[in-house]
Amino acid sequence: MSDVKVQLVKTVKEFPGRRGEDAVRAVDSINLTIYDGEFFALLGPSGCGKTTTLRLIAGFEQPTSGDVIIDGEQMAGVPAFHRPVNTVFQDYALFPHMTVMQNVMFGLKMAGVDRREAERRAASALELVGLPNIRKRRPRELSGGQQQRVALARALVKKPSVLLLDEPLGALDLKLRRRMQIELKAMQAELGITFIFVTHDQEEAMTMANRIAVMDQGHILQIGRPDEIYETPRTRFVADFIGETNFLQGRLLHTEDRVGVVDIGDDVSIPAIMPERHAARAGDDVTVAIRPERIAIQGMDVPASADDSRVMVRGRVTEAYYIGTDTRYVVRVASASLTVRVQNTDYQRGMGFKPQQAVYVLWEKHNARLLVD
Amino acid sequence: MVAGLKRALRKHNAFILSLPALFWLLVFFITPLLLVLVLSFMSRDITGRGTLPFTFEQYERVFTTFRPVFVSSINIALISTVVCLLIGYPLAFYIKTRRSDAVRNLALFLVILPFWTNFLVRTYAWRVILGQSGPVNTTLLSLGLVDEPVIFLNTQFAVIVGMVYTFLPFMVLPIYASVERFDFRQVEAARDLGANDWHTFWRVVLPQTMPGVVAGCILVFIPAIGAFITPDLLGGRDGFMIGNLITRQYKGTGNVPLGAAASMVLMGAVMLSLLVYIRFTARQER
Repeated sequence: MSDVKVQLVKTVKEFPGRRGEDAVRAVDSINLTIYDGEFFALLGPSGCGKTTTLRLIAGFEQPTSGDVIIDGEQMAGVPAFHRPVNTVFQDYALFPHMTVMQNVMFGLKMAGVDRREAERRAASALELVGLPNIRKRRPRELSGGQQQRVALARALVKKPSVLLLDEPLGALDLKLRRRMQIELKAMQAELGITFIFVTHDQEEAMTMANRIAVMDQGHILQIGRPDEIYETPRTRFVADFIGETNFLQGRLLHTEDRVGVVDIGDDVSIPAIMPERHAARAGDDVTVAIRPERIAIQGMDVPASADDSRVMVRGRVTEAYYIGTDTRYVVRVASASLTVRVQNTDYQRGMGFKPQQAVYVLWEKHNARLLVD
Repeated sequence: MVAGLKRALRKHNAFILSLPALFWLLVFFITPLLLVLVLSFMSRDITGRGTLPFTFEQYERVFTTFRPVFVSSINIALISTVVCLLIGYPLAFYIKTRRSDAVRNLALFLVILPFWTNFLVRTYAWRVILGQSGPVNTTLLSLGLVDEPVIFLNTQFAVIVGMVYTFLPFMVLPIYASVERFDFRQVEAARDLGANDWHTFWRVVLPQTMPGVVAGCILVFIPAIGAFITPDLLGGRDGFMIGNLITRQYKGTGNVPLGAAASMVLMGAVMLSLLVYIRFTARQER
């Protein structure tokens, strides 16, 4: 897991602007290292540069500057058909004039594999994706899920060093997508091939990937394991894009040992963990993020129990919704509104608090994090 | 009685509705065709019209005396078709791959534009262009590429130029239609799977645009092989084609049965090429 598989070094991709507009930087000087055997996700909203990054690796685009290195080799000037990577396209791009078998065999034929060997390998690739019995059909006779599997078989049969997947499950319905997520993950673990996939669906990225790079406007904002990205988002964008978050605006009063104390108004101040290399100083306006499910809510009748690791502040419930698994409260704390999610269990039934009720909200200190804007 | 009639009418609805069309085909297509067929087996009287007895003489002459005319007609039509294809195929791709809609629409408009002018006028224009002192020869002379004017007119070359010019839109438009349907990401898919430009073209792009190519070739070849105005105006003796042969038999004191036989043979050739077309598209559809 320590061998470097793919590396982007200060990679830039500019597209010429239309009608005298400035050139557009789809990928703006990104550095990225992906290791052998990883299941890596490029995650971001549409237009963030994730697909362009994938296309740079595939060889469909040449970088304006910077390097793309695969298996230790510079890819500058190496055309797509000579790269040790294969792609599963967004809408599969299967060849409609060929049968399923011919589609899967295409790459082997191009590599000069003899017919019998190619047939054997194509058949086993189709078996791998769970489609052994539709060899003679044409793509248009297949369901979306089947087409997706054929596209997968067509790419995997080449035994690529890296498999690239561009929104591979985007066209499938939710149920099928969930199933394919699990299957893809199992397949990747079994084959040990490095997978790099592009998605705008944070849940999909969290489910499948070992590591995620969150992208926005051509930049990589944060790279990390799913839990790192979720638990310790560095920027407001990352915290907002992945999961649900409360943002509290305030003024940094002072900092100590990477903990900043933030005044959120009404004489309420809370501690917040500062990420590394955070440049904020006392007096700056800052944003603090807390996940709704990390906040607990407590009646005023229970004695307050704040200590070194726990933060506890007064608030007032303004809204309460029962949504099945959880109950969601909106609690007014100082000048901010905090969303609180309380899981409904046998021990803690929902709707325990009513609007206008005065409550304490509390959380473990490490859950409140100062963000980079 | 009335009810029975109604039921009968309803039962044969489709047949009754198609009666006008059937009548039209019978009177204006099948009857003349049969007349020509019968004529083609007749002898020539002194005025050039058909007369008894029945004979195979006309077909014999078509396949012997006039065989060279057929051979050179097929040649000219084939060369025109191939040249149209070589120009039309890249042109269709060029038009399709323009980024702006305005440029694309303008290009398509320019392809169709010649239809707005009379065909005869356009063909006469080529007489001027290719003439001894026309712009082509003047340019060649002034560039010093030739010492004396090249004789273009009244050659097969001039006929091919005229035909390519006339029929190019019939090639471009069907190819454009199939290029329009082509999903260009398949080029990337092919390259991703290790196909170079050559293999990508032959195995992915061409097979999927083949229906347009075949349609274009048929649409050019059929009118080209039967053309008579273009060879008449540009070809002279050298570019004499089946169309001219047939016209000559029907005008003045020709040989109407011979013209009929030549027509039948021409029609046979055209039908043969249509059969090829149908076989081909049937295979594509499967």
